[in-house]
Amino acid sequence: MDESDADLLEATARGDAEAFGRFYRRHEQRVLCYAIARCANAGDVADAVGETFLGALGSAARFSGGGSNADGDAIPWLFGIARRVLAHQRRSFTRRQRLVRRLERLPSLNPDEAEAVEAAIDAARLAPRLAAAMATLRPKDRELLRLVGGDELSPAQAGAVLGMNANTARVRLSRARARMQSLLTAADGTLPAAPHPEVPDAQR
Amino acid sequence: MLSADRRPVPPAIPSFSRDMEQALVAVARASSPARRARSVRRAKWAAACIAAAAVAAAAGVGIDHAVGSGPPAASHPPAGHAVHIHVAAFLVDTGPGGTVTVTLLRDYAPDPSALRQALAGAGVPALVTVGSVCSAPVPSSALNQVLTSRRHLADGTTILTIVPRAIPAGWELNIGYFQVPGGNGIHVSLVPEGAPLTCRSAPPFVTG
Repeated sequence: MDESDADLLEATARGDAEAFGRFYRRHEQRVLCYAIARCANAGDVADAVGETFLGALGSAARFSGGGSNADGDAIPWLFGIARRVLAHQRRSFTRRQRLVRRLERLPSLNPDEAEAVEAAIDAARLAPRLAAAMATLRPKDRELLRLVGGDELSPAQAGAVLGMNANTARVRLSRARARMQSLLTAADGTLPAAPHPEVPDAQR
Repeated sequence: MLSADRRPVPPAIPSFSRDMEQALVAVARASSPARRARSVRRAKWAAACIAAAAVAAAAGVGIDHAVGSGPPAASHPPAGHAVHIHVAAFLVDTGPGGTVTVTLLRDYAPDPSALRQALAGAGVPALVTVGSVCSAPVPSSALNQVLTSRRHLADGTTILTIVPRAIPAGWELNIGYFQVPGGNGIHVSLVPEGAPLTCRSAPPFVTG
């Protein structure tokens, strides 16, 4: 029988380093895609992946498969870590430098891989009209849409990533979808000014 | 509904994946309480080996001769003996096939004695010099068999893969370490143990 995420993280916390290697292999692609959809360049993607799994390693003993995450799938938990990592990346250069020093032994993408990641970032970039519509949403609603639509989480899982309960997540998701539908089907094709500009896209 | 409703297609990054997994496992290993305790014990064991070798040398008895007859062979750790020594400046890890991986981190000049002891514990006789490199006439093919891989990561880290059993008996590895603008300069050569050496303060080339 396959080891569950909880099994792997519990083994990691007990000192089984190879278990964390298996955990990384299992979830690398999901975290990679999460980062690609939200980072401005390949270097940030590589850092985000490394920092997220370092964070997971440091918190392995505190992982719980209960609650809204009853099947033990660690993806919402990992995305929650990744979200905090990306927030740190955007905060300040000084703070970022401190983080980088902690990560000094992590590898980086080679030139071919960096090119492939840059291409994936370009492919994941939203069309201008869609991006403008998304920017009119509140940041948490925007992230809810992305987690459910792009990262294939359930509304409850997406809510867990953002620190809201499942019912709240469903209601906000429904409203956000309705707003997007309304904006994108507007007869005159104009969109209101974005009250909540998205920082990562603005950094591109 | 939305064109955003799709996950990005993950690009192929096999080298990054492999390196990242290895790095994370190394960090996990280093941060395990049990491993930390074992690493400390191994460092002490390596130090004890050095001390024993020094005592044997002072007594005029070669360690290799003391355990058997025949020509001297390069010293190796016991079969199956794994070494993982992780300190701020470097990591020394034994790997599959008897290889030893040495990771020298940027911005940290290693304590030559500590690195030498760690390498000795992993079966690599080494002369570690900071700010100078030593050389001796030896075919480059011999060094290529000993130093099978040498990588410089973008963050300035240098990773050497060493095959201890390929080090000729009576020879040791000289790791000359330089701090240069933008990274580490590492020069590796084979030198005869205990023989007078030609050392110089300028690296023959600078990397990193």
